[in-house]
Amino acid sequence: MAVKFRIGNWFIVGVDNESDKHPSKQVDEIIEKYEDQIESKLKNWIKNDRFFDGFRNTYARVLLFVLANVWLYGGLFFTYNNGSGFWIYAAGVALSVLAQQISVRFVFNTDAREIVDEYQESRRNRAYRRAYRSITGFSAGVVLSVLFYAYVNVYFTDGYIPLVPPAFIYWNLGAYQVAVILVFLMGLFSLMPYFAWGFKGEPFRSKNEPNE
Amino acid sequence: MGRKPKDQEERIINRIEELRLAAGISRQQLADAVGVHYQTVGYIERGEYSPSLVLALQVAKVLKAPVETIFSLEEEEN
Repeated sequence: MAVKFRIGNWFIVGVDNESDKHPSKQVDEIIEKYEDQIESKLKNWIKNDRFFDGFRNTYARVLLFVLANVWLYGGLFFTYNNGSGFWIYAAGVALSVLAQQISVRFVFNTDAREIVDEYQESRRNRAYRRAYRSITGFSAGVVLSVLFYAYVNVYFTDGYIPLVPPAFIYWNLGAYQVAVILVFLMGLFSLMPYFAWGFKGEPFRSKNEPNE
Repeated sequence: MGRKPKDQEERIINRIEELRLAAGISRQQLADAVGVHYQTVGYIERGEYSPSLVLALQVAKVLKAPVETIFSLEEEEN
């Protein structure tokens, strides 16, 4: 029972005809073994990776925060108004989220104890609470802004301020604009916990006492 | 009502770094032994994070010292 060939993600396995186990059972065991190995390697990489340490210190976290916000809001403005560049905007948002994930060692993507220890868990919970407050604040801000816009619109059109908010607000959106706004909202809600995580990054490794 | 402001909260000080160096254990080795990230050991050593009771006991076990020798409340000034 062994792996004979490997082509990309495909394995061609040989089974032991002498074995008591059914060939399908043997194949299951091989697949399970390789899954465990891959999972273990992935967890080990996430926990101990040093390659992306440049993303994880405080300066990098501040820079990533600024870049993500500039791209998210600035990109929304330009992409929405220009009528082009949707895919560049969407790819940039996705890259921002990926950079944030790397910078916090994927703590928002998993609950595995091998990856997320108690310090990260407590910081993550605090980030979720902060993000929740930010999202409710943001949502309230949007609703109030729309209402304000509606009142001002009616005032300048009809010359009075209605007691009850106007029933309808016309906002002509094409499919393109809707797609841009959706990417913005998906990016914003995905990035909120990372922004709420805080700027404090992983400390630089000590020169006097290497970690390894 | 509620929690004390952060600047009035009692801080926990610890002697992990001192005992760890005396035992000749690296931060990574201690982290592996107690099952946390090596940076977390750094945060604890600097007093930026107070570990759970379970983690504190695990650290004490690895460093072969009573937990009350390693961790203590910061004594108030005056």
